[in-house]
Amino acid sequence: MTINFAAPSAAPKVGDFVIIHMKFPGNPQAGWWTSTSGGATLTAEYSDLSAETPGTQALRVTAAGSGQSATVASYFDSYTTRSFVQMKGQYQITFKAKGVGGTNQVGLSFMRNLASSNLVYVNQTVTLTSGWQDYTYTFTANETGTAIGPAKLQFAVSGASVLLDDVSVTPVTVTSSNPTPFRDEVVDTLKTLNPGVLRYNDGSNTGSTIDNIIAPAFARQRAGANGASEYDDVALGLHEFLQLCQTVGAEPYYNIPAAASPTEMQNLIEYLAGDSSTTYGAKRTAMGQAAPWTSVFPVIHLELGNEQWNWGTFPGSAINDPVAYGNRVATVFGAAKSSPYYNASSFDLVMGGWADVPWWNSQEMASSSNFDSVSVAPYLYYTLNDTSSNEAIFGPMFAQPEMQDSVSTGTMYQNGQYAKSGNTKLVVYEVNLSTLSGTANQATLNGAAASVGAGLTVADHMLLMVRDLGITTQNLWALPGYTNSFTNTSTGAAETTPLFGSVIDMGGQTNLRRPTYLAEQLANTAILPTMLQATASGANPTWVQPLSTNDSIQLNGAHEIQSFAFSDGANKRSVIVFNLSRTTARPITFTGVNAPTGAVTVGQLTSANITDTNETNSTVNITTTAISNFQPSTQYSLPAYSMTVFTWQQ
Amino acid sequence: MVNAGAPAITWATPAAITYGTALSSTQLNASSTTAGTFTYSPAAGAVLSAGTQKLTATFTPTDKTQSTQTASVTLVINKATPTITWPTPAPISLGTLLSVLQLNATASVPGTFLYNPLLGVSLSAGTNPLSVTFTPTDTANYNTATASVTITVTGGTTGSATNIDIGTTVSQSGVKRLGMNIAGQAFYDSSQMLRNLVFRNPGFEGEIWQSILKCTAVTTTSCTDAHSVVSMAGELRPGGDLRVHLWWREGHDRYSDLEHRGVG
Repeated sequence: MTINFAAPSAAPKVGDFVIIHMKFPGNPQAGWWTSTSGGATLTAEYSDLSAETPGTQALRVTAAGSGQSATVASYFDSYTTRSFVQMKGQYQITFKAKGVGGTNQVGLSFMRNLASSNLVYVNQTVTLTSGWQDYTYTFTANETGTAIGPAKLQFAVSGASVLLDDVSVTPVTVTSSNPTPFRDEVVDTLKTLNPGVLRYNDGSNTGSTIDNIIAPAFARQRAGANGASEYDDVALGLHEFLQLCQTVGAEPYYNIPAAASPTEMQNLIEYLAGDSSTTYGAKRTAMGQAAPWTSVFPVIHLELGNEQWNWGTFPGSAINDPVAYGNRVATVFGAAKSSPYYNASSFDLVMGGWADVPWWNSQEMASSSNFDSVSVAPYLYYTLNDTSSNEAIFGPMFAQPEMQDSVSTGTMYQNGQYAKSGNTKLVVYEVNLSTLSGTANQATLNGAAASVGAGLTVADHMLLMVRDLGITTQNLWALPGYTNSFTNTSTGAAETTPLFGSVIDMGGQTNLRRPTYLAEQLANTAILPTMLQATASGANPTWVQPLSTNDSIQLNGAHEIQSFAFSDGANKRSVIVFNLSRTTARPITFTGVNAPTGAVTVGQLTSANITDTNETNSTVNITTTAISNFQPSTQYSLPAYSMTVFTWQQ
Repeated sequence: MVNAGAPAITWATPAAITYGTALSSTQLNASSTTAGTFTYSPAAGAVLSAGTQKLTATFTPTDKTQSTQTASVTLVINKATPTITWPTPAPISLGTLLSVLQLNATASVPGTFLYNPLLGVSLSAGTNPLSVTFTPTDTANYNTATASVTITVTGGTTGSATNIDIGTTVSQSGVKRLGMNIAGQAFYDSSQMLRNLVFRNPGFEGEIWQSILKCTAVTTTSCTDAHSVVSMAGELRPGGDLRVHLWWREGHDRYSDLEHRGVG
């Protein structure tokens, strides 16, 4: 596209960037499914609003004329053949409304559309008053895993004109253990995982502004950055995200739009760190958080943009030039650091990098300043071609983390060197397998990408990046996300890969966790602030990983045993040990002043088969054993393809 | 929940119970300010299936001039976790294959056991973990359960082991637990994150737009971004606004709000 403007003082050059801001009021029914007949209309109402709404629009449904009718409906849980939300207990429908013509009546219904019938929870006619009023209707659901089909909330108007605003369907009960706007099942899943960091980056936010990000949910506008049509989804808010981090005890890692201005950045710092007397501190207080968020968290990670190098995927929200982006980071983060509310120890200002191209990161760093970290996403196992045996699949899969992280030719090793020379640190904004293409058939793909072997691989990768590269902030991608498309480069068949979600669902039809989740959960039971050097000797078996057609992985001397020891500086000790043999149990012993001794709890993740998954049943599980008199010199056998965690008090 | 009309019935939603727990006065505890008798459905002693169940109380006032009243509450019944009993097996000598003498866990309810390692496997010398996953037949009312024990394999030599020495040398400090990306919500996706299940524009609000263009061709008054999907969201509606910020890579921001002359 071409943008025209008045001639600036300096002539534009190829390679310059232009940021376009627009506001599109109206179209209130975006995101809703609508129908009208007989001349009924759906329009935006800007002036006749409820005194309690935080927003600037309402929906006006005009259908009072003879033969006129209109419906507006909202659906959720619409994934074909699966359910990710089973409704249990009491729920309430709330909305604001006002009758402005005709009978002032609106038909309210809420139902689950099953394959053969509808599960109707609410179906009634509501007569509205002629003034704005809040309406609440309760119902009870008892879905036990078999209610598969989209759920639908609908307002139907015929012979009336009404104003509608601020609609919700929520569980009635709010427990003290979950004061957030997130579902109980989501919060419970995160509490079990016990993550050190939570990251939120949303494509629905890339065209947003700081003011919109911190707005209340019912006032938050849809935000676009590219494409030919309007966006329908509203991003989660920063306040809600910070509430979630606080509740689960994790540091927040938040991506702000790449086009954020220096002034916006200063406003954000004030929002997070200013007291209630400041303009943006007052906005925070109005949302219910009086104390600065910087007093809640040890550090808040803020990244400018997301994957600026990935212009092809994120056009319109990417400054796809490492020098230009580096300059922009210097300007925007420089503004942050000039804020009177900025405290260096409270923030980690992150410049986005490119894991696969260390050169790109070096260019960014050389052209920038004012950043604290450079982020990378070192995904693994992009292609799955050789599926001739379990060894062909899992030999290279298990070798790849060490090849990337611990060997001088590895891309992550090189990124680490660039960071070290630039006196900065790396953070991992996303990591997982990324098996999205190859010649594997569906069944083999499932048994690889969602297997216990995959879970071990990702956890090993993350721990190697702590041990060998000093990367202490890392985030698995992601919590939800049932499947993605897989391109079969041989047959062209439409396949799906069981990535990137680490859970099947949370409170849906299965409530199952994938092995990637379980491996991180188990690792988090052992990770303590200080990593101690753990030195392997004796058998210390290795294998020669020949060149594979899966990601061109090759490594001589790949280690079967990988170990990671931790201390809390007081009495707690732990050690995580992987056995990456695909076939053979390996015995280990321990020595040293911090070797496990006495009463030791042993947690372990493995399964009967390396290809086992939890896609349909709870096959892969963490087991826990208490050993009352652990002897470090006595051989302990690690099963093949296993992760074992020893925790004890020194 | 209280039905309209007197006498009023008070009945708080009872705390969740675990499957197998019989209904008792802990749950069936409706009260009224008026004298009378309560009957419940299901009655005390009933064992209900896991899930959310409806309890109903019928109150018959002593004063026959008053009408019979009913009230109901919901009771959440969590699945029970079977108890697995698995005695620590006696030590076996190197070369002994695992058998039912070692893989002999029992459970409090019917179901199937999946052991790891499997029956017939030969273990290495030293302490070996054994684990089992138990899947109950009645999955509607019982959770999957796991258990583990260790078994000592005697004989052999220790020379084949890998020794891990953990001393006092600090490898890394400031280590934190591994993190997680949450995701936003998108229609047809699997990520229903929020309590409010109406997540698409619940406030009927408008849209804002912010797009970054990279100039692949320029004139003194224009910038062209060749990417086909960097385009506008449509015509500006009344009340809309468009601002253009130019940002030159040679220096710092040289923002200026410039007149919009057209978008093509």
